[in-house]
Amino acid sequence: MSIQEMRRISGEGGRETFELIIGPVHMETENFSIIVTVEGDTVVEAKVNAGFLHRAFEKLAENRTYIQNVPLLLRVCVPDPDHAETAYSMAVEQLLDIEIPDRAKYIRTIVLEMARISAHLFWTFGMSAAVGLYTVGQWSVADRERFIELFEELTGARIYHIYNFPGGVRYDLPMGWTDKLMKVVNYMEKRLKEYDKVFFENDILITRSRGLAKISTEEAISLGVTGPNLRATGVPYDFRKLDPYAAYPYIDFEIPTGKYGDAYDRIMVRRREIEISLNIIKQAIKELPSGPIMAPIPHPLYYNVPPGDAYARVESSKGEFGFYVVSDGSDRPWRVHIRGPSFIHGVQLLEKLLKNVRIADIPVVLKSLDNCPPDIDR
Amino acid sequence: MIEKELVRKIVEVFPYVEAKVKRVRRVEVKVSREKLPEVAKYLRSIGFKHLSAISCVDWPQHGIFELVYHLWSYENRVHLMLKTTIPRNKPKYVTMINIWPNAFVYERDIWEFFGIEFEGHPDLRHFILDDWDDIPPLRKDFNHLEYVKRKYGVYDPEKEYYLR
Repeated sequence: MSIQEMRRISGEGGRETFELIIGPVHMETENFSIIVTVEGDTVVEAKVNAGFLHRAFEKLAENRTYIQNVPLLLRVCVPDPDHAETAYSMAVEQLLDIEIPDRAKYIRTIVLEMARISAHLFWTFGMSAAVGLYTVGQWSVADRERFIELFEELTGARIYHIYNFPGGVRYDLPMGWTDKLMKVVNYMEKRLKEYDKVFFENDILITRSRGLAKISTEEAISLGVTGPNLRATGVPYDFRKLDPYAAYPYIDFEIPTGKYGDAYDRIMVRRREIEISLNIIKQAIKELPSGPIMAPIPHPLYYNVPPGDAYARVESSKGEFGFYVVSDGSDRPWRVHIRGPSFIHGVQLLEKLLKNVRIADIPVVLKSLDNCPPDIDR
Repeated sequence: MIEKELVRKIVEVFPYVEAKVKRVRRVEVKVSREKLPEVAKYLRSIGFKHLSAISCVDWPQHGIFELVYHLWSYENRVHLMLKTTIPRNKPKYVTMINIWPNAFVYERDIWEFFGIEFEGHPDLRHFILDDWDDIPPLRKDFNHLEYVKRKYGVYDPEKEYYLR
């Protein structure tokens, strides 16, 4: 955390009020800054200052064809691009009224769960750095690399895969790829126990995050909070179950929940999600059907989409990721609205939770919410 | 089918709305801008507690802005799009913060990118586009290519600098 500027606002003697600007520093606050007013070292008020990474996706999408938008719109959230491309593809599929083949559904499920695990492993690095336990951060980034290598073999790209397309997926699984994936899954299951010993059951983490930045279910729902942050308050609301897509309706999995809605619960919900995602991958590989991977689409490069509108959502590693696509009948979307989870978690919820928190705990609160500032700016 | 039941229930209470089932778990309700607040209050009371987003669509050929409130009911597992239109030459509407508190961020976003003013919103300020000096950028009549040329100039490869 870097404090760039400190300005005294008011106060004499023992009770002085200061204004601090925290960020924008990559990897800590990521691409946004928080302006906090502090009294002593307790935060009185926090204001989020976003917009450092505004790339005007919604405007650019209006000038590109539906296919050209896939490589554009997946860049909304950098650590978790697969969910963005899938949500956009699903919205276009709804407009075209096509159903993707069963094999594509299962491959999508595998890819999305791999994306969830790698996003959570990347988050583990940020979380561990926030409490000063850097060791596990080094491990988790190295383990994420194993998933990225598998992605590279499957899609040809490491981070931005451009793999889920309107109509299905682009390539079939390479020979022997599922065996490699199973090896990594088995390795990861053993590895998680070591993570527990070093990090998730570590007294330093528990002391620093237990009871910090609590939120109740009622408040969370009224603020539009989704994903692990909502489930940490004790409700099993997961759009994989509620608004099912891909092959999730055919797969049996449980949804981890917390109890108190504090920072530690949010951390543990994510920790258990890694485990459950590994189970989902195992099941999906076992039940993987054969058949085509692409539904017939009007033209491989450009096609007119019937007029109408569609909203599609996925449960990304951070929460509800939705796309609202409006078509006027031409080959380019009339309007694309991106609903990112961090637009709520990173602005309204963060401003609320930072009140009465001490300066040293700001990174813990910030990381426990798992923000993705690029999707605030869009 | 829960969607059909829901549509029937809404039309029964508010005969003036236009409601239909779009597909599985997707319901569309169209309502005039004067009546939207009371319909919204009713929908909130029957379980549509989660406001996913508010989208705005610009239709200059019809002279309207279309506002779409994306609502989700956790109990019924239905996504409801509550749609209304406001005239393009008088871009003003009322805030929904008292019904869904997270309308705060979406209304500020729409004010910034479409220039629609929400009466009763406490903090309509530039959030992403600091010091913006043109018409709201997501309106269809804003040409981003021309704006870039005007603001930053055109690159001249012979002289190797940007011409204004």
